[in-house]
Amino acid sequence: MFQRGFFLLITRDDGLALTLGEPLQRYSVVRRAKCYREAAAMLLPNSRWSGVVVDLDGFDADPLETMKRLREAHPLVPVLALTSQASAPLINGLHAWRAELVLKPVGEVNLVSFVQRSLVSGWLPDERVAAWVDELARARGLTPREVQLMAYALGNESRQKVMRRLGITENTLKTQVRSLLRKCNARSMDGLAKTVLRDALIFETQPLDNDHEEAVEVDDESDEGRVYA
Amino acid sequence: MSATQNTFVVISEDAELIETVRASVGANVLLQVARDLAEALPLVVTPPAVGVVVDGNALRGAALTALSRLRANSPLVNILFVTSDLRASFLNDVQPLRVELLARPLPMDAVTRFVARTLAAGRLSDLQMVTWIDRLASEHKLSGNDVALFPLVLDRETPEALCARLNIDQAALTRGLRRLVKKCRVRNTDRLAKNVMRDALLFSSQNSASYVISAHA
Repeated sequence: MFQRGFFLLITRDDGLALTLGEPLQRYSVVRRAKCYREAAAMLLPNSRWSGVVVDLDGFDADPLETMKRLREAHPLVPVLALTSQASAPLINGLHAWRAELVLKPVGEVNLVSFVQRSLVSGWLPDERVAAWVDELARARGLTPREVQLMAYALGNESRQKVMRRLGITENTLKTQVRSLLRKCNARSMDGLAKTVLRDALIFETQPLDNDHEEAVEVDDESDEGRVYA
Repeated sequence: MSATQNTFVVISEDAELIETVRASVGANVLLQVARDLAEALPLVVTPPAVGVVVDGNALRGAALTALSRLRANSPLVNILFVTSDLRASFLNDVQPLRVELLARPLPMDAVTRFVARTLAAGRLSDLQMVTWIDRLASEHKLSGNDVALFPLVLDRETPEALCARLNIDQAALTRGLRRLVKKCRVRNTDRLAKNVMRDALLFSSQNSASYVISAHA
């Protein structure tokens, strides 16, 4: 029931759930809990959420105590906290539990940045990789679907599983992958994932002004024409 | 494969904050202190710093512009911004820049936690990569000649340089790479490189989860 790639939205406010649900659903499946008690049942330690968005207004529990419990169950899941009023203790408390803070009304740019990074973290829990994909998405104008495909590539997800998860045909997948590869000037999904990991984790990364260099082509079987693993 | 010293930059005139960062980074990290953004930018970019602590008071009202410039010049550096400005518009503009926020008065250990997490997360070190390649070699019965090809697979060495170092020609290199991908049961060298970096990262970050909890215990 709880799959990687799903987002949990905790809010009492039906209007906010509708407003946030629409952009979130462009990237992923969203489950909603109306209160923390309901959310706690969904946040079992063995569940695998890509991210949690929690509305602290009208919250039925102490926000910082909730963050503590959330972190105990999910040490690495990205959390975005929404509130109407910021205070120094809240900002510092959320920082201590590694939750991002956005004040209402929530802009789409805030949500998109969080969701893009979270999608990648769901497959590979590393801030630098997630940040680099977010940067790439901004610089190359990647669509939500292209960011999803990038996350799957980093997660070593097979073509069959990707098609099943996204509910698309092989031809659609090929078209979307070609578009992603063209935007990123890459020849294969493996090559693209390798470049992202290399840039984020090993080499000293420069701003994304220039295209990525071509991968050394010494393959056992050429990747040309092969659009997904 | 070479090791580089981690660099931290602090932009502040607050002696107490600078001292807190200095004590947090320890002796093995190079700490650079700047009074303003103009002074800090070159220090952040070359050599690339792993973390920057920015004191809002040092930016004299131009915080958002400064943070945007910092992010544009250094896409992956971890930034901690110490703010007194709690306006919603400012806080929301800062969030997409992936800037962590702390508000004054600073809680005890908050800066230390940021520094520790930045240094722990960071890049994959040569040691982590070598450790993982050793595991891979033992698992797939790789020979010394196979392992010698990894710098090329990981883009750390050019084919020409590798051929010269191993005293082999291009045909032998291609044969060696084919043998390597076959032994590792992957389709190509890109997939092999991706798997090595990904698995080394996952292996080395197994302790991250416990670190997050223990840091707050």
